[in-house]
Amino acid sequence: MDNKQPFDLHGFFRNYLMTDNEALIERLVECSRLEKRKKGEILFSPGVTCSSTIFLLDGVIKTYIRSPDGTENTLAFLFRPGTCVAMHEDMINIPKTWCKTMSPCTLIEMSPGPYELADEFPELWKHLVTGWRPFYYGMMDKLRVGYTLTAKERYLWFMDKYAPIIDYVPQAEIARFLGIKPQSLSRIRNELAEEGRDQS
Amino acid sequence: MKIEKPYDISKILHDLFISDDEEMISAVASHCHIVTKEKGDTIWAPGATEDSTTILLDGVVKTFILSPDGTENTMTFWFKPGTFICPTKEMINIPEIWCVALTQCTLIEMVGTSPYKMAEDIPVLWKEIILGTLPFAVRIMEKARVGYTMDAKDRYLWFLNTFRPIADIIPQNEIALYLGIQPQSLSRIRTELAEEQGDAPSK
Repeated sequence: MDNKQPFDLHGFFRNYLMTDNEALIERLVECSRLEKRKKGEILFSPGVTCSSTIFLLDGVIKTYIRSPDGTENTLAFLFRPGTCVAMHEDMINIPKTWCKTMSPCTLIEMSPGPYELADEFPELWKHLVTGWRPFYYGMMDKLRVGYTLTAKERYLWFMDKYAPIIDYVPQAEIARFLGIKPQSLSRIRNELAEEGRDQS
Repeated sequence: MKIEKPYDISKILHDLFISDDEEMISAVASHCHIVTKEKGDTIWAPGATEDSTTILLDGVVKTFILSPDGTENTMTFWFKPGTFICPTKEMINIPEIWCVALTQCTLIEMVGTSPYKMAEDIPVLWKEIILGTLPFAVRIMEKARVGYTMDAKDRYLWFLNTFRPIADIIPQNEIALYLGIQPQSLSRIRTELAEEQGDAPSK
């Protein structure tokens, strides 16, 4: 992204939705703010009273559930530019989902978001269905990985899936995300290094 | 949602959907059939070549992921009449999800098309899909919260509260697996609760 040029929100939404509906694009631009966030900022948390919508332009964010002792149990790390996180308030408040930045990030934050605007612009309902799929696949894939792969295979899956951000995520957090004891993860990393497979 | 017998697909769709669009409802209804599944029948499984559309009318089904040793790791149990589940074939095949009848069930299934395909011509269906299937996503995420935030006894109390009408249908070892509790710990918890409440554990 060229920081010297103002970001073209119109162009972003036109390309993202592949639409020529100017009234819709105008409304989305009106509801959107381009935000620079520092590392560690909370983007949404339980107790919201409306949906929360974020388009990630650069940086890394995570969604997680907090244990009573403050442990952050990551549901997904999100880092691909253009990732849309459109969370209905029930998806934040019922499972008590948090979202925060893991690095400095550039985001488009929308309020009101597509859930509130879709009755006015029904084509947004389709985008909510299709836009939500990557989040669903991510969540389900992690379940499958947890149930079907060995610790070493889980770490290889992580390295493959999250290769671009592997240096942003502390080892202890990777271990917890994969359900591996930290000392086992160290052992696996040593084994992979000996085999010449650990790229991080 | 209360669904009365004899089952009337058009009336059920009227009650299920937010929209009253007659054209949409009759178009959907024309592809729907009422089917009965026996206990243990598969409703969908990895390798699906079509999207699956299910509206549960009565009975209990579960969705799960298989471990290599054959353990069925339940994601959730479905029992509320009117539960609407419509995974695309990718949603079944990528995470390798199974859906099986735990009891005899009556379902509405769509044949030859899916809400996703129909929505291309009837856009109002997109809203029904996203809001109708939201409980599925919320329930899976809620189970993650319960696992991360509650001790074993609270997890069992949450299970009893959430799944009360079917708590007697699910074998104890399956409840233990679902909640991530050792079977012997679940027995101890059930005994404790029975003593606290003067309430005999169900058989």
